[in-house]
Amino acid sequence: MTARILLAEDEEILRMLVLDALEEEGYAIDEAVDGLDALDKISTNDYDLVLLDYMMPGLTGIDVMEKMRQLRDKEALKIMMLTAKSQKADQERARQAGADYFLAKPFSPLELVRVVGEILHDK
Amino acid sequence: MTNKRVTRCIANQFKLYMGLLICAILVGIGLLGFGNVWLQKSYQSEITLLDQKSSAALAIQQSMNGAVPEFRGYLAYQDPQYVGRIKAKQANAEQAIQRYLNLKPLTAEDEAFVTYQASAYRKFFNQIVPSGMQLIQEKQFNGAAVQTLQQQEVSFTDQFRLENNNFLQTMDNRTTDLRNRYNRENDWLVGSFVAYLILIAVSIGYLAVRFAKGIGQPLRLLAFASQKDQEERIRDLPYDERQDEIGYLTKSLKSMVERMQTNERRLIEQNDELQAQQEELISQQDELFYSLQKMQEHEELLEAQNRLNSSLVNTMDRNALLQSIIENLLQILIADIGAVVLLEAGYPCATVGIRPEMRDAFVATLADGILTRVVEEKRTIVVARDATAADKGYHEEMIKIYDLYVPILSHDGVVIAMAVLTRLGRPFHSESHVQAMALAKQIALSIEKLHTYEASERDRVLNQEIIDSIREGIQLFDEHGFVQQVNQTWASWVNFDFQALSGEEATAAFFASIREQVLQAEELILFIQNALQDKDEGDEKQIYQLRGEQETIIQVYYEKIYDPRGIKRGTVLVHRDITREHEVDRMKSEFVSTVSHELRTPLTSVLGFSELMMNKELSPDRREKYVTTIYSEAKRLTQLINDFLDIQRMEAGQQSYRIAHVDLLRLAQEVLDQWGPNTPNHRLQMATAIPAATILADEDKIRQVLMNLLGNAVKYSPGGGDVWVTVRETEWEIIVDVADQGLGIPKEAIGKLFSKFYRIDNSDRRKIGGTGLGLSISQEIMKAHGGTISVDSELGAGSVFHLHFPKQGALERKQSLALV
Repeated sequence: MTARILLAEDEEILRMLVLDALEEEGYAIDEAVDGLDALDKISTNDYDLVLLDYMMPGLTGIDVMEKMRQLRDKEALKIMMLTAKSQKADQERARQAGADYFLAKPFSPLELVRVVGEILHDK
Repeated sequence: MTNKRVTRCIANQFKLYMGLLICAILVGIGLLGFGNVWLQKSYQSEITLLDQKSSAALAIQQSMNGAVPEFRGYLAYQDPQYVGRIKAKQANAEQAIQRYLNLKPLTAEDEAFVTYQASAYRKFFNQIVPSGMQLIQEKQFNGAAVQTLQQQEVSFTDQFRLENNNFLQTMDNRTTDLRNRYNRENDWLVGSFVAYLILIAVSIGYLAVRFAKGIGQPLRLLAFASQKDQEERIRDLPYDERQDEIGYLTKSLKSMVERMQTNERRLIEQNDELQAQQEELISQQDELFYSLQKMQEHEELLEAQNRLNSSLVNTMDRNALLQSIIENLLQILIADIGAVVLLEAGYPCATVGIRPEMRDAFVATLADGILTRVVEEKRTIVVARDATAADKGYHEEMIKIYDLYVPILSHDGVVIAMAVLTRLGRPFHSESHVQAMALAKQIALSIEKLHTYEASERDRVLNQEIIDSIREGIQLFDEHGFVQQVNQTWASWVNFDFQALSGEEATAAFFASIREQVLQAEELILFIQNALQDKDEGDEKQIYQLRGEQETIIQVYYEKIYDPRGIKRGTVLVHRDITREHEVDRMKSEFVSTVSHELRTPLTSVLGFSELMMNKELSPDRREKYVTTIYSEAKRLTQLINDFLDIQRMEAGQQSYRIAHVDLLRLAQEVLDQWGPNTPNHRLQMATAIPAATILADEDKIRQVLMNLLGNAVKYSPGGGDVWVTVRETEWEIIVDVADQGLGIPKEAIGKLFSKFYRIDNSDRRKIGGTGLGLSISQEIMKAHGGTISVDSELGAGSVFHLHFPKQGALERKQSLALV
């Protein structure tokens, strides 16, 4: 079954980057441009993985994640945070809020591909 | 008692005499009684004899007389009964005569009587009666013989009776005589007894006189002499030779008197001595009294001085001190009215007994009057003057008034005050001067102390004001950890009034207010306690937050305070409101984090696309797209870094501007021209009402501002439209407006518009790029030029940004006009 991925990222260029990186992996990727958009999509669709930007206008990634977790638990949905914040404390906060994985910007797209593959493969 | 005494003892004498007298009297009485009795007895016997004789005589007579009628009756009636009765009578008569005869002794009269009676008897009874009887027997009743016999009888009887009567009479007389004689003798007896008594009485009188003389008088004299003040007379009494009580008494009295006199002499001597001692004592007592009086005066004086001292020491209120000084001075120096005045600004003074108007006059004329002399001479001066009517009051005669001026000198000899004490009618003597100067020294000390206190009070108040005016919160704790002072700033932060409290109360209130108002109360309290207890293990600073709507962050540090000897005096806690700093720091860290985020994003795309390009087979279009993206992102990165550096520099005040004359019109046109080709959807136009607009500015920076505004206008009107740039002027400013017909700005965003990285959140805008620093930088630039940037906007309709440039020399002109 094709894995469904939701990409929540406000910067268009970064969305392009991620999409292009994951292009050949055969995933079904939906885009959300901010937190509200992401939550909206989560509630209506099933995804296997959410790639979530930390700093977004409106709801922050943490808020979104908490709300997502209310809708979907860890088993059902994996969440990976993409963020410029790389401190251990931030990672910890993210994990507590419900993130499963953490990827710091700038990230290597190849690395992204590899990690996503691992996540979805494990599923 | 010896015989000598017995005979000489007055009492015994007296007893003797009295005894004798009593005996004499008794004897007399006895004699009298005896005599009386004897007399009576003899009289009685005589009388009895007489009575018996009388009765015998009477019996005779009666018998004889009784016989007569019987005889006559017989003669008459010849009844033999009469014979018996005559016989009886005869017998009686015989008996009687016999009886009479037995009554011995018989006097001659008695003899005669008896003889007569016997003869009568014989005559009658032996003659007459028998004759009668014979006759009768012869029955010669009424014969001549009878008659003769009758006549005989009658004459006999008459004579008999007569004789008897005479005898009886004689008997009576004898009785009477006897009686009289008895009475006489009795009288004589009584008389002699009376005489005897008189004799006795005389003897008694004599004895009494003798006693009186011998005893009474001496006694009287002795008694008299024994009286107070008469003792001398005892010596004159001659009775000591006597051997009786009087003598004894006299002797003993004399010796007593002598003793007494000796004693008296001794006592007098002693008395004199005592007198002398007493006089000494009296004089000592006088001295003591005098001393006591002096002491009392002294004590009163000391009391007044004490009061003065006490008020000098205790009173820190200037007016109360002055009042107390003058009141006590008045009392100590015994003056009637007075005033004391400090020689400093305003001449504060206190008076007693002076009307306010007079006081004001006094103060006003102070410098002109005696003050100068007092200051020069630096000693007390007395001025005497005549009393005015007002001063005199109700005194009639003219009295003098004495004013004592007392200078009060400081320790370095400067006259700092002056007291004036006035006595009405009584002068001041030298001791008053001395006293006044001594008091003046004390007063001077206290005034100096008052000055010091006032100065230190001013300092204290000043310090308190300083501390309260400091915007940091300050607490001072003493060495025991009690709150000594809490400044106003802190009090207002925790909304508590500490002014009324001190010591334990204040400390408790302080910690209570922390618990109430501080979010991290226990940590702060722990910090403070560590600070107070000299525990250096903790941090020296602590940060905490106050409760409240606004976020207030306070940083506290402490310092220990030591006195010059190195002993810890207390601890000072200083609380700084670092809310702004904190905010700034937070904003900075937020800024940094935002910047880093902003930087990473384009960096991610640059690195990411580069990596994809290096590791993937891509179509040329794809490659073209990636390269373009990399380029633009790199540029974005550059722009970001430049803006970032700009804003940092500007905020740090390190931006330098090259000021020159700038033609705004020309510059605006240039910018429009630059943008023009890149904005096909927009019409960029310029309008101006003024021919020229020259300002002093850094041209590049102004260009940057214009570029920013224009860029925003274009960016934020994605649907295209007109963009107007207008240049106009007011009296003080040149204003450039940049107007667009774009998305507009919501009202709530306008306030934050010029803050860093602020980009309005909504779905329309997120597409729009930019660093979010443009307006901040523009604002900084405008500020640096003395101008402002502002905006008017209507959501959905568009926005107008205004740049206000001050005209050359505008500021100076404004200022000069303001002065006018």
